[in-house]
Amino acid sequence: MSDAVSLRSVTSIRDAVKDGRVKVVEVVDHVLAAIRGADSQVHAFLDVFEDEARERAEELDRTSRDDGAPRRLLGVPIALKDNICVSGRPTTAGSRVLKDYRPPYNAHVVDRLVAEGAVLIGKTNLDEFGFGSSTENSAYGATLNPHDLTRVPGGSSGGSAAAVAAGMVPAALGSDTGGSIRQPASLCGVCGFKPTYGSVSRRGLIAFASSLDQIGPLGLSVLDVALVQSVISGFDPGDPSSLSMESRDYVPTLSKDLDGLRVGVHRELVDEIANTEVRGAVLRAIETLRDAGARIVRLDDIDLMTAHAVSAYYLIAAPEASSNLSRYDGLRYGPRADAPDLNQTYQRTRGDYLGDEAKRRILLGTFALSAGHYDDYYAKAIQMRARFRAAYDKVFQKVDVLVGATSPVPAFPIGENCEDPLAMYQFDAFTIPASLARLPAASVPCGTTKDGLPIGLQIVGARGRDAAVLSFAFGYEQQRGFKVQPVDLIAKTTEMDQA
Amino acid sequence: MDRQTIDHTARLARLAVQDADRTRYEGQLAAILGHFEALRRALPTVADGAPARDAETDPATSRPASASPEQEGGRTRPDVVTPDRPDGVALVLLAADHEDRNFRVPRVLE
Repeated sequence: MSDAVSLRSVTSIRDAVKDGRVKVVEVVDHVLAAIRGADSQVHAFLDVFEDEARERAEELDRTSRDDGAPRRLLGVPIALKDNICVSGRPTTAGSRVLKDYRPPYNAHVVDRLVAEGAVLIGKTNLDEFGFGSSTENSAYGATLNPHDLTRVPGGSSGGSAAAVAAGMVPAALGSDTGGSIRQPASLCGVCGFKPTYGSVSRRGLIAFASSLDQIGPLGLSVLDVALVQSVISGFDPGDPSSLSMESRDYVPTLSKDLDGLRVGVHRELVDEIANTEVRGAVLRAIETLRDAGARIVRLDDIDLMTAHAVSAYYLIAAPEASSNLSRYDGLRYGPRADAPDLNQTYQRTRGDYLGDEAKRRILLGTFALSAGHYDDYYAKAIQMRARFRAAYDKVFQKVDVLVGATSPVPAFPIGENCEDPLAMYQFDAFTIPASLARLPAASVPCGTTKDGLPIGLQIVGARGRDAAVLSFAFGYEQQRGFKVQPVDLIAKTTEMDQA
Repeated sequence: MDRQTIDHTARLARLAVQDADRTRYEGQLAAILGHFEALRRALPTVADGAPARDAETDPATSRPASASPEQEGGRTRPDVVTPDRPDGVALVLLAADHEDRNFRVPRVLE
């Protein structure tokens, strides 16, 4: 393999394989070695498809150059969050209640990746069913942040974000219900994109909250994220929430030019950020955008209701989750507790095999939907959701994109917020509104704290304007003055040993 | 949220909750619901004329109830029966303990 071939980006791998400069087998061996080297420290993976990936690589090396198919991800290893189904492979959603569950079919996004020549490399860790912002709620142990192994990677797609940040894979898929792609991308210093609700099929995604869940990509650069998004998006008749839009290629519309674009800035998302390092990094990003010719538009006269975001979200997501999780009763999936009758079989199986946060959300969701409380909680959250949609509709009548911090804080220490779920919920405050309003949103690294922890800039666009968000994110990335590199954990460990 | 409410909710959810967890959930859920009070106060109640039903989302399809799928940018597929996988692979793969096309099921009769 030529030393000149970079195996760090989706596009460079794809181009090198297509040009014959590198074999897919070499790429896969490189990635498997990177996983072996880094994952003992990070614990990003729950399952690595070592044999299958090698077989797939050999098959692609044998067949791909002859058939002439224009595969956009030829030879590119991609990791999948472990709530995305791969036929015949364990798919746990980070839960003991799905231990040993093997789906009988592929998720729609998996079929699309495979059709474009990607190599599935393994399944990444997550908070159980997506319930969390730190990946500490996985039944299979926490994932650590490659930038600081004493801190969380964010969540719930923390395994996917950490795998990309540590250079184990060039790209991964995550899922985002209230920020679960963008927040870990921010905390791990990589790019993440939550598409417009309905633009990527969720067939084969284990459901958390069906009116919010969306699959999306994570990568080191916006170009890589846009390329993977091009492959996975588009109408799927197998998902009733799928939008009637054809697959499109987001790469040709990426533009460095920010001149004249209207960029919304709101005090709730910028000036009122309590963490001074996060606020400083976002303000510097806004200056960079202004210097590049973007027109900064203050939107302080619109009430974005950010203070109500967490309440509205959890009063919608928890009831939907409690309903979706009712299927895990010991009869259809996974392990079953011994009990003398059917009702106790349900209760004990769920009590024994669901995790702490899952139980908390089931209780919260069931309570909010129960007689006497529905109108006070769920119905009001639905009203508030409509207000969020209206407020963000107003925003996008005035600007092309809205920018702010992705997360109010950088990566926090492992265990710091485990006993305070309400504090943990607050970390989603900036990402939730785009989820409630079903908007496309990206997180792009915009700086670091003095301790080297990454900070992300969130870029939100109008519904269906995914191309505009990705193009703007690309434009900012070209202007921001630094390139994201994967964390070299071997060098980092040596440094720590010497210290 | 008191102990009695937690027990009632857990029964509705078919969820066994240990005594130690119940005490912890009681405090945590009370704090969470306390935080939600601001949202409750910010909006009119049903008695004040707010819609009693889910005005935003149709739970059956997760689509906004106020708009048709086409208005929302979606489209429905033809409602036709399609054959299942004929080889029985789907059922076999679902079983943790399987061999060829046979799989073991838990004993349900003594």
